[in-house]
Amino acid sequence: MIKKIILITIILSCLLSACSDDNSGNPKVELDKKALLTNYADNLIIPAFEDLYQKSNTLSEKFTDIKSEYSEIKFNELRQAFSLLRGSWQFCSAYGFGPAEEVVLRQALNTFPTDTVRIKSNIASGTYSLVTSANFKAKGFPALDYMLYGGDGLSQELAFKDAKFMQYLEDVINDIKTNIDYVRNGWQSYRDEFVSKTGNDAGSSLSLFINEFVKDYELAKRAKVGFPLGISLSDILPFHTEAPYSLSSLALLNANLHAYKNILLGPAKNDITKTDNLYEYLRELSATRGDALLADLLVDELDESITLLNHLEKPLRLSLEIPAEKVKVEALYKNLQEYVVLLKTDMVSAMGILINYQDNDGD
Amino acid sequence: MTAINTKFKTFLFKEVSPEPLAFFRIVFGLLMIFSTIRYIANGWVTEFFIQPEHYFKYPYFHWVQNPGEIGIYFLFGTLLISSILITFGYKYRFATIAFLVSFLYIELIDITYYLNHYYFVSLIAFIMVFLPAGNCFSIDAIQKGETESIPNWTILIIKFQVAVVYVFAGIAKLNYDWLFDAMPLSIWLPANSHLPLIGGLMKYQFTAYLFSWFGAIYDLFIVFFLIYPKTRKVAYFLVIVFHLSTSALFNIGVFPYVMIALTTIFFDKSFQINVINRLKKWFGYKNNVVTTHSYRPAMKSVVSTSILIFIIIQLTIPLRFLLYKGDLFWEEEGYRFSWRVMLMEKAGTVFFTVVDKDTNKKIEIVNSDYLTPNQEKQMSTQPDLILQYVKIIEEDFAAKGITNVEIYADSFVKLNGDFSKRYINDKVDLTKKSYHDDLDTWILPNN
Repeated sequence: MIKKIILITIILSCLLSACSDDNSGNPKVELDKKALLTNYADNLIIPAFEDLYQKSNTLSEKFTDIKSEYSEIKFNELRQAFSLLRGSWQFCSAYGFGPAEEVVLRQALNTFPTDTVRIKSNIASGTYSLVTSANFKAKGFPALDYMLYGGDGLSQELAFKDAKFMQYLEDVINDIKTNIDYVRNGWQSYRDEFVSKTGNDAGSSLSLFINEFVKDYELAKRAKVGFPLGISLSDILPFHTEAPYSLSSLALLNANLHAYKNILLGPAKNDITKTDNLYEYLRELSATRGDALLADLLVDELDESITLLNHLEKPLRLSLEIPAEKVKVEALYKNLQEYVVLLKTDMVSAMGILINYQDNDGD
Repeated sequence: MTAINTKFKTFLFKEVSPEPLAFFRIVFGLLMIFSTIRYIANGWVTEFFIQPEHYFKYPYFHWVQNPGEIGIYFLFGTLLISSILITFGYKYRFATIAFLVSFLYIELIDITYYLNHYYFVSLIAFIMVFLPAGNCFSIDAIQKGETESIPNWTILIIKFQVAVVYVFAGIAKLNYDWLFDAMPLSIWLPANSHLPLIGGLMKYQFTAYLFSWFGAIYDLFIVFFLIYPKTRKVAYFLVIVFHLSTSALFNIGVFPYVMIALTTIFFDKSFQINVINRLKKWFGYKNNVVTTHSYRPAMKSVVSTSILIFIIIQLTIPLRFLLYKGDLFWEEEGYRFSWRVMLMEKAGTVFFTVVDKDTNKKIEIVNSDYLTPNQEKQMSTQPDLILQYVKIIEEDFAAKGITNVEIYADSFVKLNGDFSKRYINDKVDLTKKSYHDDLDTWILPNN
């Protein structure tokens, strides 16, 4: 009896799968999560942190140079090193799991708007501990942005002769370096764990990776464009942009969007016999809107945001105060917002991934 | 009619061996000890009941409040202790009542964590309060005497409850998406390509159809094969295979094991008698004086009427969706408490905007300011939770002195293999809306 039922089930399913329109049909390329994780770890994530590490070394060196003796050339080199480091960070921010999670890297390096009052009082008092969460708003890249570009009327040379200012600058740079070193070194041992957790539960690598990607994107959309635009206050907040003093917020966001695109497309070097990047993986899942594949929509819509961003003629902080430019920022924000749906709902759901870290009993 | 009634009563009150019920009590108790400890050890008590700032309420149970950190640990403590008492059959009646009350209370704090299986455990716990399951191979029996027999209905009612779960779960699968698109298994199975042996099969559409059809047939008929003695062994083997595979494929925690353990109620009584006797020997358990009991005729009528009412309720609740005209999967009216298990892949994203009518300023809400990721996920696709959330936002603004507000939602939901679609009419002020009455004035149709 049971055997007959199983037999009938098999026959029925064969017939059904044969006659159903095969829009999510059989994959042509081998779907291999281990290959995918290995590819991302070795060819995208670890190199990104390695680059970050190198650039943080350069920043330290440039600081040592200027500490011994100030010169305008050295000052520009320091700024340059900082700018490169910060650009490099845009390609790491999405990887907030594993070692980065242990030191809450994103908050430690890039909490903005920076608290200039706190920075000044820290400098004046000389007594502070940068590892406390209260000082997250007074360190990292945004603090350097203020200290190297802010000025507040104080000329740079004068500031660099102030021992207390220099001490704080050194401590902030060292703190950045310590955190980056930790994560870069941490990946050497975490790599094998990352590559081996091929499941699809809340603790699996693909789930962590995708969840952090989505979370970082949402945060970037909100903090880098939304809050400055006044979405939660209705008044613009130009100094809530990522880099208001160096006026480089747009360049950073541009890099950030390119980093997301790299995640979707995957590292250039990959095994052609295996599905080892998200783009191909998503292509095989074959979700479509009209005739467009989800995989292509994800890339195209990111490009659309990059185009909208390039329409802006002035730095973000200044654009917010010019009505004609503000409209463009709003258009950018709208596009970034719509993208959340593609990422968080369509992509995640198509991949069959849990959209939070919290595991539960399921249904 | 009276003849049927008499036959029915004779059948219900036929005296049978007490061991199957004692065995069931022990298995249930052990499972609950294990799952309570697991729940606490996973940190879920903190995550689900201490960290959140707001809670989504059950209809009719809005008055259930989170009792605070000490209170919630007290409830879990009660759950654990009463599970132990149930296992050993000590102060059985008190223990089952304590278990039921604390379990229900925890469940009713936040509808975010509604699961069919928790509902199932609640029902079993409710039934057990009325069963004489503590009078055999138990501390109570040592003290008050071992029962010689129990009425047949006490076993039947458990079998009925298990049957309700399976059969309704099977009926729920008889829909177009499940059978002819193999949805949502076509989405969920390929995510399991990492599994040894069967992992390679998961990407094939064929596998999804096979699992869908097998799952539907299994749910619909497994109980009957468990009842029929000749097929029972094969059927139980299938129970194990089925639930172990669901456990490997999906994140469904302890429930596969709950079903594997509790379906032993269908075994021939000789199995449980054998096990209990061996256990008695092992523990050096000595039967105390044997007691007998009998029902007064009036009591029999009360019991049989109660059972009938219970059966009618159990058969009605899962079918209440027929009263609503909307698309069940899209609008979810009557979706809960209906044994719709693992039936759809639904996900959503929703952004809320508050308009302060006094200043005409627009404020976008950051959902994570109010909700945990789990809460946000559940809220995004369930209309009643969306309205509860709107109330939460409205009250929060009122507390800040902004009382004249309108709230709009920019919302997208993806169901099974479809692409995401706009879910809520974004021109509608949700503060003026209600759930059942005017759902179609703010939820957009699924097409």
